[in-house]
Amino acid sequence: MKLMDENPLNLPSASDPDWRFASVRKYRLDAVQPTVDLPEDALQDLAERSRFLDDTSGHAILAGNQLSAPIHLQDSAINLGVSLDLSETPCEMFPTLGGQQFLDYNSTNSRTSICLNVPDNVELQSPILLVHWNDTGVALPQVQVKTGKYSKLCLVEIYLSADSTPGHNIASTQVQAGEGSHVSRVVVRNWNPHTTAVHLEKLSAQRDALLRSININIGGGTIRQESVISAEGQGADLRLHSLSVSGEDQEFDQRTLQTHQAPNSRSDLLFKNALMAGGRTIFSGMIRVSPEAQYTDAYQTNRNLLLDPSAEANSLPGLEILANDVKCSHGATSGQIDDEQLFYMRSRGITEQLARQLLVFGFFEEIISKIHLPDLENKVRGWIEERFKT
Amino acid sequence: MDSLHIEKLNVSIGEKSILNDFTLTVPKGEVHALMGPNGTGKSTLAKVLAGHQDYHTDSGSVLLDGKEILGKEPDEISHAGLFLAFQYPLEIPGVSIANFIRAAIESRLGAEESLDAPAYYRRLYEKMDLLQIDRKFTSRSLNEGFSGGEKKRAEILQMAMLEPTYCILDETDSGLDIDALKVVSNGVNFMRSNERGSLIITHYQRLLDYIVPDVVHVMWDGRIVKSGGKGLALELEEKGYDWVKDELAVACS
Ligand SMILES: Nc1ncnc2c1ncn2[C@@H]1O[C@H](COP(=O)(O)OP(=O)(O)OP(=O)(O)O)[C@@H](O)[C@H]1O
Ligand SMILES: [Mg+2]
Repeated sequence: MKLMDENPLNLPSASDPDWRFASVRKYRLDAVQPTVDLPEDALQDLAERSRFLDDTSGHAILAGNQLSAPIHLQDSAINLGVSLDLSETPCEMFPTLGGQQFLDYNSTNSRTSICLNVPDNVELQSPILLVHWNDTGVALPQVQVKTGKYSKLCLVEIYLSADSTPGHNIASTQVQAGEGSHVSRVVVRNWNPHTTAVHLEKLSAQRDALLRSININIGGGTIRQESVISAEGQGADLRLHSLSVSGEDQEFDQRTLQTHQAPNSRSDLLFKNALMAGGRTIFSGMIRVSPEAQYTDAYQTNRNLLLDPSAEANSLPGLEILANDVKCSHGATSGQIDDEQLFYMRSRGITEQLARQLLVFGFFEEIISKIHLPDLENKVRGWIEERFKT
Repeated sequence: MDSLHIEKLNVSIGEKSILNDFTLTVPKGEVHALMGPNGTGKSTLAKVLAGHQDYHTDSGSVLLDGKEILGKEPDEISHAGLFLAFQYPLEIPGVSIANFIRAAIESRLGAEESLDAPAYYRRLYEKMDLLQIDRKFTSRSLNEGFSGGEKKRAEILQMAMLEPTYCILDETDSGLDIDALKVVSNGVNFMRSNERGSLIITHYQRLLDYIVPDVVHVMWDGRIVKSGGKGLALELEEKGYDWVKDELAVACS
């Protein structure tokens, strides 16, 4: 309560073009319960429930705005100079795609800023796992990641609800991939249906860095994700992938900006949405190529699979190219399951229901198979299957 | 009784009639070839038999070992023992060959039964070896990015795994080079048996050098205009499809 009184959240206006199609008023915080600190056994329980990966280099588990257990980093990682800490300094501000108020709110009020630094030439073999459990109140996680030259990092961020109480999440993530480093990041959001969330992120890649980020959005109520990906050095390669499953009373609102400031850089975006009865999605993407970013390749694709006539997929693709020698493409498609594919499968004896299910899951596989962490891939498949059962 | 028996089948799409009193019997144990020019209704026949819903059946009947399959769902027809190797196999992204065929086999099991996975894979690899399909393909999405020839082999692989009683092969030879043609023919011949009947749809007599048919039928304008022994295919190749149009069709009408 105290937090909110001091720093009220001013909602964007419903007519703000950056919030086109979005249910802005759902993001109000006035009816929100105050955050309560959890007792020790509840914290331990959440830590227990956070074993999503067999093998990690380290992990931090957060419950609301608390650490559920001390941050853990493997000795081998510590010896290499890797650090994973709770930071006092809020993350640097970065441009948003309409959610400035939310970033300000997060930055002013967050008590849980996780900082991860990987020094030059250090290659972490197993992933760093960050789990954020939402409870009552507003969780305000921050993640700041920096990778040194020619380092290698896999980062997994998982956002979940501790139970079925309504929750709010305003999160920010900033990843700065240093020269020649390889960063692969997987974000999974699977909150309860009473959760609203705004996740703001800025991912930047220096010269010759490869930065891959995969978003898997399964559970939640009204969820907005803003991703700014930025090729800052020549030869930088950024890949942003997303898979969202939207159903009854769910809205996934995703805004993206691919910016290229350096030549010979590349960005590839693929956002796939599967929409069940009553589901809504919004995809608004922009590619911006600066005059100096010659020989840029930038691609943006949004594919929506409509599984019910009541589903609504909104798509706003965009391009703004100031360099003259670039390869850019953008496209959005919305469609239903193909009847001829269904006929083909059924002619093999597969029932219509199973054929549909296989086709829907096949649609997801393109993204899931990019995770490259078998235990997480299976976890995600399981969560999506559950989503289809309800 | 032990046959695929098609009796006076009339099929149309929209206003256009495609099959006209089409009649054909393929007894168990025989291989029949169906030849005919483009657009004469061969694929339409194949799809109607497999239960495609876009076509309108005006009249007729299709009996599979005496049981009517017209009007049944595609999966029921498959379970009844009919298999269609598609002229243009569909791509199924995200579903591997192994999982696809597995789902098709599991759909045939009773509620109490479960698939013996190791035995399944043994059998799958055996058939893949026979069809010279690289084992790496098991985990690839079915038909996605496959060449024409790979798609056709994958069709025969499915057929070999599902062991249908009646097989319809729609232009399985098109787009195959001579080596691939031999491999595919070998796979089909391997399945020849007294317990199985096949209908091979093709344009070219070339395939019939490898899969020697018991009977050859020539189709024109939605019906069979001449049937004969395997010599008919050679005669057709020699005289061309104009012969069908100008003489056979005229004699028939
Ligand atoms: N879905 C459809 N809608 C409209 N017309 C169709 C459809 N399917 C087939 N036809 C028409 O029906 C006729 C028969 O087509 P079909 O594909 O059965 O011929 P085919 O003998 O298999 O030809 P090909 O040798 O080229 O494969 C053609 O005139 C075709 O244009
Ligand atoms: Mg055809």
